[in-house]
Amino acid sequence: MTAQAQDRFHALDAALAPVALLANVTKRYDKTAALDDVTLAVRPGELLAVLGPNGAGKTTAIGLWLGLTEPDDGIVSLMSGSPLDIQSRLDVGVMMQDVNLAPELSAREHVALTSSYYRDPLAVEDTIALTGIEALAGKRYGKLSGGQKRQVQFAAAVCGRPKLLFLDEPTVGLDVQARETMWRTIRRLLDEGCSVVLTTHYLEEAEALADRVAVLAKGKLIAEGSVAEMRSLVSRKRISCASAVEVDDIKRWPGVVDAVRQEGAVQVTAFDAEGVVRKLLAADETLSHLEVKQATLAEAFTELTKEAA
Amino acid sequence: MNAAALTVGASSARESSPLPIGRTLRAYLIEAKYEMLNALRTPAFAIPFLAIPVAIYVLFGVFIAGGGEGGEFGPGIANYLFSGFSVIGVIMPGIFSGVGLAIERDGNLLKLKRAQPLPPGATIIAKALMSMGVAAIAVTLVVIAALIAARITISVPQVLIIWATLIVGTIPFCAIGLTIGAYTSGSAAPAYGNLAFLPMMWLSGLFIPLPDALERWVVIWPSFHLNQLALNLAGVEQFTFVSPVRAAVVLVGVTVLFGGLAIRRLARVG
Repeated sequence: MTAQAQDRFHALDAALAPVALLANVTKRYDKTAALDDVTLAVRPGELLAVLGPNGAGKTTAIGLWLGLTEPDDGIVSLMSGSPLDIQSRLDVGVMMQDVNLAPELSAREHVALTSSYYRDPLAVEDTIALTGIEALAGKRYGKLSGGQKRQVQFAAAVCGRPKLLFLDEPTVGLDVQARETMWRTIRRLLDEGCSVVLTTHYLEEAEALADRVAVLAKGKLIAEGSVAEMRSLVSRKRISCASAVEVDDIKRWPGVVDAVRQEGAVQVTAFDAEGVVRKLLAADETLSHLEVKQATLAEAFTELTKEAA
Repeated sequence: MNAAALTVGASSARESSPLPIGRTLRAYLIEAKYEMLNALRTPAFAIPFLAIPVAIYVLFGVFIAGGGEGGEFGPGIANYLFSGFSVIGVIMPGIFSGVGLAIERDGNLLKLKRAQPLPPGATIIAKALMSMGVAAIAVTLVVIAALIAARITISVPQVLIIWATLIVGTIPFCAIGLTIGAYTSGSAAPAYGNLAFLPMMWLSGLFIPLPDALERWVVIWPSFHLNQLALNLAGVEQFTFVSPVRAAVVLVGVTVLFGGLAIRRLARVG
């Protein structure tokens, strides 16, 4: 291979290398495995949503990536280096849960302070404008509401022009407008090539922002893929119609999981939606208001984690 | 496991560079600056630590004990009282810096800072500089009061030597405070801080005569050694009882022991 080709090869490799990686990682607390042989990679420029019920291992995974804890087994890498190496964290922004910043400093001062840790941070006023916290900038952090504090923490997370951003439940406590501003900023960062790891309990947030979703349950990675792939993992569909057919009869049809009558409409949950629709139309010529819906991410998530339990 | 990815990743690792030395030093200074600002804006921290030393010096050192010829010790007692009350201005911000640390640990702030690219030891260095800064203000207020009251008989250069020695001498007390903050919760830290501070204030003979039974034990308190070091270096021979080398060794020992305990604990649990 020529030197030029080698350079191109390395450049391509660097572009494709995961910015954060857990490889066959196991982490135990006492005898309980918080993570059990989990392999999960964050690719450059993507938003990976890590979902899972409380105690699933999400916080442990993020703690490992950030060097806050070390694995019992497996390999953890951050920006192609060790998470324990400060150099690996120079390109990483962090927003954690349950953090109290210094109460007597203003939002602007917090952004200035965090900016000082980074190699090439945004100007403080640019960070304030980017994250839409102009109205809070001069106020003492301790005087802000819970949602406003999250906005300041988000500003501190993005001020260092991170190539990788960890956001742990970022929109908890935010009003709709602040949440929209945060989503818009996250999308802008993604457009600029930043990778994002997002944990959230708001599945619509993952649905709105994520390129990929990883579902953890009881320390195991039980599913991973695009939002569409996650949905398709769950083959159930929701059929809704106005029909005189008895729900008890529908329940006996093959492929039907459940059928109920709600506010005059028949609601059917089925694996074989097409077959059920054919039978419904055949059984009731007056059937109307027919609607077939793919399972939402929330329904897929609930089903996946139930199966893992 | 994607072994190839790790190997491949090394190429991008080469592209990243460490924070330049100038920016690293700037990060330490900015951390210390905002630590100081936060402390001075916290009324429960700033007001007592700045006001109490000068207030009790004026009350006991000037109005009550400052008049006349100073009894059996002569007029030189005013110098000893000035130095002793100044030491209190150093002990307080040093030891109680641990309360802030404990509160920050409770609030996961140290955990966040461990996840950020904060230069190594910046939190501890910032707390030490903040304590020295607050101590400098507190001792300066005592110096101003002493010069205005005109009771002290030592020269201004001697006052400045005592001032400078005490400011540097904040470090061992800060080490004790950080150990308290590293091992206790935010709600318990003030109690442990008082447990360390009150005996040091009352039992190291800084400003009140002690009974013989207690006087022989003053050597166990670092506050006694700091006072002795300051008086020794300023050449106030009337009230120096131990050599400056011995006092300095004790203070360095306290710094190494407690600083080491704090650093060890913080490295493990943040």
